[in-house]
Amino acid sequence: METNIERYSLDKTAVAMQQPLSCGFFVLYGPQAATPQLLQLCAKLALKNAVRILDCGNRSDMHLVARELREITRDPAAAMLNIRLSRAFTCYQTEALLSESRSLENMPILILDLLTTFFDESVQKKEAERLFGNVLDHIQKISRKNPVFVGVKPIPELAADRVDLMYQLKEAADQFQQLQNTAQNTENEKYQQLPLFDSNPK
Amino acid sequence: MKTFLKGWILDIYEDETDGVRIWFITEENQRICLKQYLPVRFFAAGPRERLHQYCLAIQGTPGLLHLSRENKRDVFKPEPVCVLEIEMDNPVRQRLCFQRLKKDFPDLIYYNADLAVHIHHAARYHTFPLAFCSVTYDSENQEILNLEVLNSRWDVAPLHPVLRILEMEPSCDPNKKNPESLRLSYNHHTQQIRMSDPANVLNHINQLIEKIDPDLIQTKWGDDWLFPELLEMESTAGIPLKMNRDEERKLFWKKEITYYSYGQIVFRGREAHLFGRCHIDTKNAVMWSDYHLDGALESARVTTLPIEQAARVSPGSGISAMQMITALEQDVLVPEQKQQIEASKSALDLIQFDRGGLIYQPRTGLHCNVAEIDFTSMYPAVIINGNISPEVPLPDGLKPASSVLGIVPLTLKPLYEKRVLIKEKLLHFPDKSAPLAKSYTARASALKWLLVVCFGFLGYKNARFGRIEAHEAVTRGGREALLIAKETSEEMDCEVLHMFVDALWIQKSGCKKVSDFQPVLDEISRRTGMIISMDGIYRWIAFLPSRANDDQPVPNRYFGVFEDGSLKIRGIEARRRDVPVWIIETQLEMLNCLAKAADARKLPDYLPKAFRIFHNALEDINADRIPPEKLIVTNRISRKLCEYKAPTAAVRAARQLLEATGKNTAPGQKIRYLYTVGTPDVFAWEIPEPIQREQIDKSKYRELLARAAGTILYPFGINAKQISDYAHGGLQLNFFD
Repeated sequence: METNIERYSLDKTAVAMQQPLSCGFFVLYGPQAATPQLLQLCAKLALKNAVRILDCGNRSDMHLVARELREITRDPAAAMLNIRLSRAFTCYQTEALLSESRSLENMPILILDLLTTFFDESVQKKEAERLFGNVLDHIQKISRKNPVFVGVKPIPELAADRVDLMYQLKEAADQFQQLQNTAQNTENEKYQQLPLFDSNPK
Repeated sequence: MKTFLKGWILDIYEDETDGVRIWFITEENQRICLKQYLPVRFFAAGPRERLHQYCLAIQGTPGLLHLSRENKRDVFKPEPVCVLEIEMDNPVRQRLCFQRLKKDFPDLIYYNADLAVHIHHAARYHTFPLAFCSVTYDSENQEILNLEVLNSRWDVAPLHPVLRILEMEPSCDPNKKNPESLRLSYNHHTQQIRMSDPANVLNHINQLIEKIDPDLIQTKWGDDWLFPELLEMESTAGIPLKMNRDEERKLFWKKEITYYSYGQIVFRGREAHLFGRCHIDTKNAVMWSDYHLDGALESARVTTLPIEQAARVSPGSGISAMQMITALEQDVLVPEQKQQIEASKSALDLIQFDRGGLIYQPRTGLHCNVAEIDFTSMYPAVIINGNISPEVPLPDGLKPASSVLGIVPLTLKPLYEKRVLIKEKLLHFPDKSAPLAKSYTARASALKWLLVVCFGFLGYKNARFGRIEAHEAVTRGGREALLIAKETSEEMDCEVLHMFVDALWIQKSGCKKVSDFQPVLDEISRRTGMIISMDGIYRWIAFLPSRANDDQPVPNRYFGVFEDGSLKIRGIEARRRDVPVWIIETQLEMLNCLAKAADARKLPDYLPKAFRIFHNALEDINADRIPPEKLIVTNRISRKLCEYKAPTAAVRAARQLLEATGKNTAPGQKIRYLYTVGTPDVFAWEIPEPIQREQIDKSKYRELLARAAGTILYPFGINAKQISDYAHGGLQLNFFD
């Protein structure tokens, strides 16, 4: 089992340059919700394909993507136009965004920081769980026709009571990968280390 | 029997039996409680089948008046939506009905379902706190038959009743030690009661409240210490505390919360609310230090929030309430949860649109005769002029794309105009310290904060009428306006030294007076359609570089002296809330000394005097002459204490406090501490034992002082290293000749 996300993304990108990615529901778990790695992947995919970003944690740093592209192409602007994105700031918007995306076909989809909006203290746990159930249903539907990469970060202490969401996500995903350096994340925050994240894919 | 009164609304709240209860202060200075029938409507939308099931489930609910199918306007949808209208006879029953049925029908979309009673009332009757009303009521059952508001939220000089205010304050900070007595003040009379005898305390307070019948109880630490303490006394002494004017009601507690605001974690303590009169804990009122009671009343007036709430909450809640009232008045639905999503855009579009305010780095160093000009409430002006609202086409710049005002500009326009009028009135006060001038200043400040947050609120996740594209359109308009101002200034031979979001610092050869720059201001106003005004002309101003790198200019870090000798400082130690008072005072004293220089050429005469202030302060700390309370450092804790791997000084102090007293510092709360020598190297200020002077880490404080002095002396060629060495006795500077 490969646990190094950088190798993972590069391998996948190499595949992407040659042939379409296979459909599926891939979760990447790590600091900053594995966003740097996902955006790096996004840059490489955007060289040849349209890419869709569904940003659920206000993490679409397109300057990072532009810098990445500048190193690998003479026309980064053309690749940037291949990337379409929408942002969601509440769990209701996340649910609505994914519901609207159910009709997408044959397009790599990156979902950034999926869980963040469900940690919102102003939304009751039961309501967050209900919406997240819908979200998983949407992603599973979308992933039948598209490769879907989902980034998530460790659950912060303040939202420790919502750990079930992570269990459900792992259960629903085709593949769940954990970054090696999750325990020493770059946001310099201590998160509750969850025992369930072994490196074995489903 | 039909009876008539004229009076001001003091308090309004819902009641399960009466509908709403409204307390008036009559023209005859009486306090009277009347009740009013207030049916409330809310709406549900969703698939027809589910709505049908909802109808069946709601049948028989107590208080249900009416069910019907309607077409209504949702701001985020182009066409009217088909909704189920549910009318209930009473706001309490409406809330309970909504909460009960939402559990069974979480998938439906709800509108107008969770609005506070004052919002429904304001939308229907145009009421607000301290509204002057004409009321007809039945004197037998106190039921209001007719209510008419005779003035407006937007009156610049409203007539208020004289509020009876009772102030209650413990003899010391209860976080530091148990207060021995309580100070009670009313109408310039002060009494002191000892806390040792609960029965005596309660009897005394009850008698005083009965005697003066206050409209407002203004406390210090009332929410987190005084009221809990009094309630405990109530249970031990068996004497009921009679704080409420409405004797049927008990004290209402609002729970403490921790939440994120502008990327910062904020803690708001629990709140004790009264019925029929107001309680304001000035230590738990977010903006109290900025605008006091006059500002809080102005905020309550324009937002319609109850006075107790307006004094405590952040301005965002006020803007939210105002937008909801506008929506109800326009017959637009207020969604319980916003579900609209951002339209897809390309990565290039995101880079182009998702920017903040425009900043033009300053030319560091000392400059003379510099004019600071800024746009009056720039972002609100961009919103109003550009008609930026979630439901209307957004402009590409400053010109509106639609002529019909949207919910957001419709809400802001009277607020903006009222602030401009109050500011104009203020200009005519020769003495700004006169009571009326102070009142206008406080009210203008309250309005300013509401206007400030309205822009951020467009991008706030939980704003009912927020939309990220509208938020981006505002910053786009702001950048456009600032660029126009820059180009205009340069065309008119001004040199632009610095720009920061809505302000420019400009210089023009030979121009020293306000009138010299007036043509520039007029032309910028003409080209942008927005008011730009002169903040002042600096005799001299120093723009400072980054502390880490002298070659790197940083925005909004400067100090300067206006023509009238007043100081303006930004981004330096004296503006920071975490810096000890002693350091702030010393830095300000140095600046005030330099401010005496009539012009920049005279500055060298004052530099030795300013340096002497620094030198004397060093001698004071070395000789233990600084009281410990002036050395307190204040920091906010952003996480739970157990989450820190490498604890900062503040966290070490918070842990020390926890160990010593059992008092936890929650995320968002502040901790006060001093630096000490040895281990531990901090002393939590709220630990009851006194600190010994020899414990204080003088070296640390010398260093902090040297930094603050270095900031002031940097533009005059004295570097931070020299100042630091001098502070620690490693360098002799011959400055006093």
